Amino acid sequence: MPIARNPSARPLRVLYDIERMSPGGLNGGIKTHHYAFLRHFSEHYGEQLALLVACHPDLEEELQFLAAGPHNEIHLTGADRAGDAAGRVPVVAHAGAERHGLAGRVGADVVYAGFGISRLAEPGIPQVGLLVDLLHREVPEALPEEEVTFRERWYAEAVRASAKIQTNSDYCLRALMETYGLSGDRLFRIRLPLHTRFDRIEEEPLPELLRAERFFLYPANHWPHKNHEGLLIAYRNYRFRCSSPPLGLVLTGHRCERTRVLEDLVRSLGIEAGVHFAGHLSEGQMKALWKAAHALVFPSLYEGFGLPLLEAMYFGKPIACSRAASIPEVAGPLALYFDPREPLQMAAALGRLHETTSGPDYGEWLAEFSIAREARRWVSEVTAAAR
Amino acid sequence: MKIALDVAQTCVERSGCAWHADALARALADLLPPEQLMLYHHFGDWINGSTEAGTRLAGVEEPFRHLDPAAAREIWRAIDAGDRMLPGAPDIVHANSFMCPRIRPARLVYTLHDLCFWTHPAYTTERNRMLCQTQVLRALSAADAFIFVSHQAAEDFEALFPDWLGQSGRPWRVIPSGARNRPERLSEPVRRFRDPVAPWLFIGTIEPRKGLAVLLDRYEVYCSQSKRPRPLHFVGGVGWKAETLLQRIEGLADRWPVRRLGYLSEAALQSAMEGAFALLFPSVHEGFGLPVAEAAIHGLPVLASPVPSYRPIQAEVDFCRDLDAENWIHKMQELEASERLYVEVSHATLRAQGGRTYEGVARETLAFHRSLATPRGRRPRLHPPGMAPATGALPT
Repeated sequence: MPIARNPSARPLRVLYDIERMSPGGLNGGIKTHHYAFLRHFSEHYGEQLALLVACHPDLEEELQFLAAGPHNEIHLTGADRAGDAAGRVPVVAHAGAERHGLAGRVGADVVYAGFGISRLAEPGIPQVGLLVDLLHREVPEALPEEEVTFRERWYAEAVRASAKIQTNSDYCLRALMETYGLSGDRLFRIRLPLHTRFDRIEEEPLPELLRAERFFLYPANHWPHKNHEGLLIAYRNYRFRCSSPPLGLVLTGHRCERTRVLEDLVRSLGIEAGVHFAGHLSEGQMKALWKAAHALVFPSLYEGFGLPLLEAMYFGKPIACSRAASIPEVAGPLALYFDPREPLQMAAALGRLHETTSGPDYGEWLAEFSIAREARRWVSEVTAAAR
Repeated sequence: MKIALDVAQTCVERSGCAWHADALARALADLLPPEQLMLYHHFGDWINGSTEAGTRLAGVEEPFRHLDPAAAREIWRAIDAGDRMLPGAPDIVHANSFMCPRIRPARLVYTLHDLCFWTHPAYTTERNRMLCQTQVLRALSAADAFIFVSHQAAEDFEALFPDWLGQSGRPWRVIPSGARNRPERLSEPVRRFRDPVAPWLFIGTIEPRKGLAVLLDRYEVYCSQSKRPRPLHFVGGVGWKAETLLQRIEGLADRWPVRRLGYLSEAALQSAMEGAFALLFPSVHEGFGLPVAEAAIHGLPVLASPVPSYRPIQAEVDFCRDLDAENWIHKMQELEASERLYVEVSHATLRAQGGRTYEGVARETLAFHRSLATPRGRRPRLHPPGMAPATGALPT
């Protein structure tokens, strides 16, 4: 249920800053996060919220679903571009070089910083910042030194400049409190039950190779903390010890420099026959892939939430996962856990997944995760921050 | 044949891998004319702030020693990218520090000391775990041959990468480490036994992997049951995740004769072993376990967990055979109670160690290097396809 607002009042004007978002799959789960919530707000809070989304021009096409909210607008704040969206809804405005003062000009009640801090923030307009993890503090080894330094400054600024900080899990909530000394009233947790988006996604055909095989699925960008190396060692081990024909391993994710390193490793390990790098897939292809997958293996060294865990449950797939960071909070009591740093533990888990014929009944656990409930809390928190 | 040895790790406070590199370099120098050996004081991604403390050998080329870190890094990046030749044009490059640069056209022999970062990751830092993982995985494609410092290290590798050695056709050897030096004279066991303040000795870095929490527990019980407990001395630097242990050692020193001697020079270490009562070494995991071999070659009784270097001693010395966690304190008390037993154990331990030093390690290493001196691209396939003998039977 949308929260009650005075129907005569004007909608809350939220300058929703996702300027740092890239087209395609480069940003990983945070894009799914923002798009799913923006869609939900547009469809269920259209009268109460005016979402003034500030983003790079290349995202305009992807954001057309915002048209469901009558007061929504897109503000293109990247490089200037001639023309506009030729009258298509939602309203498109080019801020371009005139980014400065945008929040005031559009009459924003609050600036929502979808990547922690917003360059659009202005004095007198409260900011709500989203901090999705503390990777730079908890697994700094997974980031280049300059990125750790950058995130240190970025987080410190977000904490300083935000009236409220949103995060994804109780794990991150506690970590933010301990690390930055934040009090509970400045923090709120919005979990990410985004799996139900697949209800409305049309399945798209998969490449022939993926259709032919039974496989474990690991959907993750090829970032160091995703621990593909550990998984590949474990997968080779599982494959060698498997008494029946082994399952394949499908790795999705945006191709980057590290993809080549991982492909080289696959060759060194001699497991080319079993491992498939599927690249970044559309949501429709992901739906088909989830349906075809035998199980989810999730060896990440760190997560602020762990979207694929709920997705695997939604598709009824068994799960073997790391017990790092927020993962147990999301994966719950029905997953098979391992230490992601120990390839032999992981290999044993793959062996057990191999023997599993179907996923457990996740119904009760999955019911704990509702986007309607989380969206209601978000609107309530952001509204409170705007006052 | 010209061999370049990675001695990068000898430039910092030394632990097992660094002592291995140092001892191997010295022993190879005894076997080869100086012009056939080179020392690399920076190696791949291991770039030292200073090379001052690194291994040096008279007459041996040291092409990296005088380079500052920035210059060394630049050169190794260029070598790795294939844009620069290796200094000194070696035929063999022998990696000792886990680093695995891509080198051409020399052949890279990669030493695997242990796989603790995969088998017992809780005992290391995440930074070190990721670094070791990256480099060992790199070695799977970049190394031409592998040396394991113990059968345990080879077995761990085989458990993680079953039949990889056989399938890849890479030559490999288990060349068990030994003691670095044979002592010039042995101290009399009777004298050590009769010295009431000859201490129990622990040698190794202060870190949880060494089983020191257990050792401290046992020592406390031993003290509480002894009228005049022997001191316990800790020799070695500070390793990973040591804070709690250091506090505990400090706290214990208020009540019992516990001392931390820190990192000792070679001469001081020899002297500490000569004057000690016995070595206590309850380590959770070791690639080899150098302190055990070194204590044993001094005729020092050893109570240890079954690390690779202790296995021959457990196999040969009756008193040590049935040592386990339950009877550890009792064994300490038994050793103290009987001069006859103490002397017997001392002699048997020395015999069991077999006098193996780095002289033997260097000879076997050199023979392996020579077996690799075949043209690149024709990697000798020393094992038939299938399960390679991880128990260390030497390939023929």
